[in-house]
Order: sequence, then structure tokens, then C-alpha cells
Amino acid sequence: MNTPLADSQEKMAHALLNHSNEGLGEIFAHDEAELQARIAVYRNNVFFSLSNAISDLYPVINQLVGEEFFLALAKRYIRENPPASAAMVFFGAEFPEFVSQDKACLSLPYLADVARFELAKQHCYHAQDAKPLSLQIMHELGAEKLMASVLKLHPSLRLVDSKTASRSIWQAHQIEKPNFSEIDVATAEQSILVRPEFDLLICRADAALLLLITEIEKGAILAEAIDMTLEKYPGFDLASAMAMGFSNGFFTDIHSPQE
Amino acid sequence: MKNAAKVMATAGAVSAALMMAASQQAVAQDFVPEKCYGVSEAGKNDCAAGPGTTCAGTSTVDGQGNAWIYVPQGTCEKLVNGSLSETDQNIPS
Repeated sequence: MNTPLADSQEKMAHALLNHSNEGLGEIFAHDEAELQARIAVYRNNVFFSLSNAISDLYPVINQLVGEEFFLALAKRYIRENPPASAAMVFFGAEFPEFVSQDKACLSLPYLADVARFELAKQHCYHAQDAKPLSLQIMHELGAEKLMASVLKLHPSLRLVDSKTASRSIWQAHQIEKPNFSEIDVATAEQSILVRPEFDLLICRADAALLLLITEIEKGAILAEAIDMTLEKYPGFDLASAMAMGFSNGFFTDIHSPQE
Repeated sequence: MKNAAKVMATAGAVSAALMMAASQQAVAQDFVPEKCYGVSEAGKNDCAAGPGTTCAGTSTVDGQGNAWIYVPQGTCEKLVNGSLSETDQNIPS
């Protein structure tokens, strides 16, 4: 029997993800017992390798919930969100939203935030390389010209706006003997991730700085972005925030608004 | 621009920011993750095709067990207020 390739592949994918061997008899060996055994090996490899990929991408989620729970969670995720592309770098992007909807995770409301943080790290790390704007160039321009210009953000820059302490929880899992009792899970945390050169930097931010960066991202002139931020957050420490941006390579280019 | 004094003030702050950035690189940077981060990331593109059998310690992955019978058991237990009851939780959307 000649089954078209696409049709066979679809049946195979369905059988692997849904634990059903329906339709496979038409494609493969006719011995049902042998078919069962062989497909089980194939299915096991699919879930094993994809679970490993999810675990590599979300190592802190794995530590937070423990391996057994994590693998069960990963398996449910893989069934609903099999890889859409052959490049594994994009696999797992829907995991944070999946976690936020998953019944078994409802008692851990910060879990999805930590997953978003880990995904932002992945995207930041794999973003295009770009050379940050040098301090010298900005110095030569001077503050007033900077204020009248539009800044271009580094392509790796990612904002993480969490209602929970996602950064602190993540950070606690990077050291050997963390003091978990110092973390208040319910504290909202804002972070900026950027990779100006080879290393990924994680900067502590606040809601005001996130607004400023968002306005800059939209193409606002710096003075306007600052104005808008100060209007909403009068206590914003502009100098410290801009210094953090300048010294950590948040910006790659500058141009006047007419260009 | 609403008033000149305000513009001067913010320009001053940006000027100060430039000075601060120049005098201390990576001034407000909280922490930097482990240096060998890229190594583990690169491994993800390898074919991690499991042990090639149905046994070999992967039964939890392939288990038919219903999801919700598993209870989170990792470090989440150590976090203060880490596990909130379902009634007062605030699920981030």
C-alpha cells in the first residue's frame, strides 16, 4: 500500500503524542506486538529528548517543583505544544503561558513568572549580536543633544515585568546555599536582561524604568520618554537609571527624530 | 516640554548619568549569571535522543500517570509563602 509521505508522518506524529497506535498498521510491520514494542521505543525517545530540552530551558522551574512533577508537567506541555520548527532554540516558548493555565500549578502563582524570566534569558542570549553605543560618543554629543534624540535599544534587551519575585527566586537557585527566607514571593519585581557582548546581564529595574524603556522602544524622543515617565513616577531616579542603561549597553544607536 | 526649569533638571540628570556611567562601568548591575552559560545552551542543539530503550530510568517521563497526582516537591516548599492556597492566590496573567 502506498501512503503519501505527509499522511504517514501525520499518523506517526499523532500516534507518538497521543499514545495511540491507530493507523500505524497500514504503514508498518503487521505484527501488532512488535509494532507496539517498537513504537514505544520511538515514543519514549521523543518525550525523553523533548523533556530534556524543556528542562534545559527551565532549570529553575525544574528545581522549584522537583523532577517528578516537572517531568509530568513537561509531558503534558509537549503533547499540546509539540515543536513547530526543527530548530530547538524556539521550542518551549509557550511554556510560561501553559504553566499559568495548568491546574496542578495553581498553588504556585509565581511559577509562570519565573518561567517567563527563564524564557527571556533564552531569547536575550540568542538574540542578534550588536555593539553598544560607546560612552565617548554620548559624551561628545552631550546631554542636551541626547535629550533631543531617539535611542535605539540593544536587540538582546528584554523586559521582565513580574507581579511576583521572579528575579529573586531565580537568583536564589544560582547559588549553593540560598536563603529562601529572605525572599518575599509576593513582591513585584522588574528586570532588564541584556547581552551587550558575550555575557548576559541581569539588571534590577523598577516600574518607572520599564516605562521609560518601553517609550524609547516605541521611538519616542528621549526627553518625551523621560517626561512621560516622570509624570507617572515623580520619584523616579533618572540619573541612576540612565547610568545603568549607559554602562550596561542598553543602547546601540542614536539618531535625530527627523531621520 | 512643559517648562524650561524641568527640561534643565532632566538634562542635568542625564548629564550626571553619563558621568556616573563613565566613572564606574557596570554601576547599577545587580549580578551577572554564571560565565559558562553559553556552554549548556549550546548543548541543546545536539540530538539528545535518550537511551534508545523503553526502560532505562525514563519511566516517569513515559508514565501514563494522571498529571495532577503529582505534587510539587522541590525548592518551592522552602520559599516563605511559596505555596499559596487556591482561594487567596493572585495568578499573574
